[in-house]
Amino acid sequence: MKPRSERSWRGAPCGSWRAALLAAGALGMAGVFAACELAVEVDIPDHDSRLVAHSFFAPDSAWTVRLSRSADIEGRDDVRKLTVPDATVRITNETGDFSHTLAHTGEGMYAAPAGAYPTPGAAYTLEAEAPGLPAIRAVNAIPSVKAAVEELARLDDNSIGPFQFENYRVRIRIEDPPGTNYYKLELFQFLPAPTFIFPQEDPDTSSSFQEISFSANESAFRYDDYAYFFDSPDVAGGDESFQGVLFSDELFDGETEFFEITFNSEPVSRSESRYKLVLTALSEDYFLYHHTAFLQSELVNELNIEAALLQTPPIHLHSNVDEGLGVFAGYSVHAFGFDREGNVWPGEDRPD
Amino acid sequence: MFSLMKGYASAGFPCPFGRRLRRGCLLVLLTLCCWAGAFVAGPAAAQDAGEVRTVNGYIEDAESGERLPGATVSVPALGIGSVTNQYGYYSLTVRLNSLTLAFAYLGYETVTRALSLSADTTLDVALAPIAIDLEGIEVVARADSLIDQPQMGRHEVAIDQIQSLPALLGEVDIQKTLQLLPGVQSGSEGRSGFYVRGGGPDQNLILLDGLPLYNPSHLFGFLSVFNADAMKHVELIKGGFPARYGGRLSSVVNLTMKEGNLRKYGGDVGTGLIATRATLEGPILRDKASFLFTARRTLADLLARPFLPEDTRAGYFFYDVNFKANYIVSRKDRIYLSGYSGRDLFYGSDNWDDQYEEGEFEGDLGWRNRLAALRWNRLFGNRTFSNVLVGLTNYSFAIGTDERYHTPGEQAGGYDYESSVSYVSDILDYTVKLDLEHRPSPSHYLRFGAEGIRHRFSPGRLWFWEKDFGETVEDTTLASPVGTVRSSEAALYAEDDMTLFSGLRVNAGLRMAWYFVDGENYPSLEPRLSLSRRVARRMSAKASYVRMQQPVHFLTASTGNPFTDFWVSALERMPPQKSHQVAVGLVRNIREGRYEASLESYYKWMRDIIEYKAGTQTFDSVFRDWPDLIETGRGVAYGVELFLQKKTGRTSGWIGYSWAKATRDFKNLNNGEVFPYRYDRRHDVSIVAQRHLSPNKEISAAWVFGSGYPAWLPVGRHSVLLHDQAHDYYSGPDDDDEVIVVDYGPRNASRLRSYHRLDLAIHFRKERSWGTRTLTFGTYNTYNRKNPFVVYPVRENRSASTFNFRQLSLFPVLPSFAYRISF
Repeated sequence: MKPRSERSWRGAPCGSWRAALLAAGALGMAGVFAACELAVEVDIPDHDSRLVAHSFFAPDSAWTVRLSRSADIEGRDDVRKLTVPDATVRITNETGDFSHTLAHTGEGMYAAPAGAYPTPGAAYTLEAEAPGLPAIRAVNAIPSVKAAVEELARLDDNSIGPFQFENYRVRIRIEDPPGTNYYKLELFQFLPAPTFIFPQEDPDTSSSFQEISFSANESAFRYDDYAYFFDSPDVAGGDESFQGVLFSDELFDGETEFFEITFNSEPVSRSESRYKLVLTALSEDYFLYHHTAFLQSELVNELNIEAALLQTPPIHLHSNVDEGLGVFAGYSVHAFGFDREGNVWPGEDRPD
Repeated sequence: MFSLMKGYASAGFPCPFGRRLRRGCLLVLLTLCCWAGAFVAGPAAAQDAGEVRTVNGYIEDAESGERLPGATVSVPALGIGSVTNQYGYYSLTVRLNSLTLAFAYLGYETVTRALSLSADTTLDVALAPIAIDLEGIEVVARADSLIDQPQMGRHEVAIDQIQSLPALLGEVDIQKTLQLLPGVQSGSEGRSGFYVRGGGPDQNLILLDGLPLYNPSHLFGFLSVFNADAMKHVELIKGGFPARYGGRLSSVVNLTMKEGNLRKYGGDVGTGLIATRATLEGPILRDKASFLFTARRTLADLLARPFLPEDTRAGYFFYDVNFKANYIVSRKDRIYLSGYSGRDLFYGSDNWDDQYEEGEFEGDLGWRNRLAALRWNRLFGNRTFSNVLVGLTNYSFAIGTDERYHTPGEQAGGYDYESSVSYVSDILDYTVKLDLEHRPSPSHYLRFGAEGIRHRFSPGRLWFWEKDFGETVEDTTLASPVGTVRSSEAALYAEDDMTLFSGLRVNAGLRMAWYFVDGENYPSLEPRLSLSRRVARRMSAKASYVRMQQPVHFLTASTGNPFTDFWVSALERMPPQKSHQVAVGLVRNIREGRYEASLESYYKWMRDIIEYKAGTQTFDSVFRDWPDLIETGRGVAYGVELFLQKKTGRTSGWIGYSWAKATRDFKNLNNGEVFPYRYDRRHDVSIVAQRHLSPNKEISAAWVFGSGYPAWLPVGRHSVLLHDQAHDYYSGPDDDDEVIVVDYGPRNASRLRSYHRLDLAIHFRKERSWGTRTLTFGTYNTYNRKNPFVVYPVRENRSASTFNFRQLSLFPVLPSFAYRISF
């Protein structure tokens, strides 16, 4: 049996007790009041349907935009099917030398011609028009960050039982562009395809990466559960173990910054000594959109009674789309592979 | 102080309170000089005439010796009079050699006395309570009744009446009775907090024996802390605030505790579905000193204890203890000591002991209010009354858990773990107050004084530590970066209740207040003016203007959640709230004063009021730099209130109606557009009636109606993609690639259903040789209206993208009973 201390405060995100408090309160109150609940009609203002655009763009991805429309809260339509196939969608850059009209490829998806890729740092404008809906416009750019693995060190091995642990220290460098940027750092360990599969096991026998945890004494890092704590500098920080972190450039805006992490390999017999470190630079709109969508989906889908009882101010989904909804957001991914032999390579796949 | 200020001003030195205040200081001085002129001129003129005489004294209950605040002293022949102050003292200055005085107090026999005034006269009067008279009570036309008082927006509710009205689960609640008055909104169902004339719950100055209370509620706000058994006098002021009150924008609730019977021991015990209570009072020294002690406590946890497992202890209780003692040092001096302590506590503990682990856990959550006041009343001559008050108020909220477990014996790989978590927030106030009242002439009633409060605000601090095998491995304190704030309030005030030409009554006052925090001073010059003039024999017209400043804010994302609701000091980024209020009205006596009708309309505008920024989370206020979470803005409230009251006779009660509108205007909220206040209720009706069926049987009923409150609800919905499907690193918080979100419309643009309910109660009294027993039966929400408590959107199921709205209703029809023995 695992000692309770390992399930307690130490090493656990503080969000857990807060979420537990919320959940306990919600459940308690829901239980008390459930008997008095009834469906009602409420006098609410009219809703004017608007275009909803989703476009995430990175240097190595083709331009795609998904267009749908919003619906009345009390309507019966399935909003997942309210795609907009008859829109005019255009993407241009600020200098005017990049201008593409996107073609509808089905189910509300619009794509640029092959070979049209965004450039980091350049601002792009999305414009879309559809019959009966207000025209929308949004502007965003890919953070033009440069990043590299500065140092990879293999520390002493630890052996416990039949499993071999490998300890590593990795130092990475980030050249942060001016303006507010957010970063996500994740670490993965390679899982080769199993050599034997029990009949009842998942037949997916392909190799894959599984996310593993790492440690860092870095005050900028926040747990992936950033929804509650991202802006609470007193709460996170210190010598912690993370399963993916988020951090902003608040402390190093426009500068070059170094981060150091350490980690142990997972004691899984079928894994091999091959790792992937992924740094994703998110534009502010990307982060805020993700953040508010997460908060709202929790409140609307999970804890609505608690939110209503506590009269928590509603969470508005962030959008940078003028006259519409959704997000037009740039990001960039920097992946680095390395192995126990000390080989480091950029990109997702090990060079042969 | 005044001479010091005058000295500075005349010598051309800067005012000690800063250049910005020089004009304010001069205004205060000018005002005081004017009143000082009246002070001197009055008696001088009287000496010239040789007929000015002052009659003064105390009016008290003939049975208990309790002094009666708000009793009237009048000269019926002249239509002039006075009212006793909070301590039962009156002073009436006239230009007569003889007169007949009438002393009256609601529920007491009126006493008349003919006096020959060869000199200033002291006359203490004892009034006998009226035995319940079923066929009508003789009403003496009272001078200085409501129609003559310049004060507007003021209600007094008799404690007997409060105790007779229907109550939620039989638990009499003073604040819930106040919610039945026009202009007072109840907020969410069942809550005892209240919203006056479009103001927030923090804008009510709730004074218990002159000291402010901050969160006077039990059970997360369902009941107030005021035990009606301990109270003597309840007064609510919604507008036209006299200069002696300050520090809040919207209302003053003045509660005065009983003093204790000076002549005989007595008391009562009672129980209801919520709490059990006891009161004991009596003389310490007959006619010299007395005491009052009341206590009430919920018993549910004690009754449930036998049914819980042996190793488990869990429950909830609240209690209130009120204490008051007084000593009459001499006819001119009286000292009071009063105190209150109340607490709510949810608690639980558990023990376990098996072959793998031994451990124990204890946890509790609670809040408490404490208050202590020492007061000294002194008479100076026949015309001046003074009151000195020193006191402290404390509100605190705390959560604590302690846990310890370990492997039994000396097992290999064993553990010994201990942890403790504690969360505390509190407020501590020290108050010093001096009030002086003086009647220099028949047409002036001066009040002036000074007040100082030292605040300590300590919003939430979370502390936790862990020990492994006795070694500390964690010891962390988390708190908002703002930390503890210490601040000071000081105020000087002067007011004069004047009778001017053509029967014009004026209460003019000026309050000069300063608030010191973080090296900054927030001065406030607050003029107050109330006018009253008879426009017909039984009708008067009134008008008032007040300016108020409130240096404390209430940080709340909700209502009644003490974990996240804080009282915080005004700071540079959120300066004190200010308001102006103008009101006009008519008051009419009907049928020789048996009925009183009033019509008031008001317009109030506020600034530097606060709201959370959009998207602020429930617990953000606990740890974050909360001034960053706040938006400051403006508010406007206006409305019309109609009040018709029958105070005497077999049937009494009132009808109140208000039409009101309250809006908020914040530059950074709702796209800068004006939006309705959360408790903007357009129509509010209350009908309250009591009827004596026989000397021992009484029924009462209250029906309330309120149009729907605004709500901030979603108006649209759409589906979203959380990440770019081109990269598989983005394992978002929701495993679904596509989630459904809602679009909120304009702030508070939706309306909930209307609220109404009928409460009934019947009281059976029986006189016994040893006292009286009263049995009360009642129903709350008699016709089982499902009133909205909250409304929220619900996704019909996890796979659907459609929503509907659900409403939670709190209280169905609830029967109640209460039993009470008085001796």
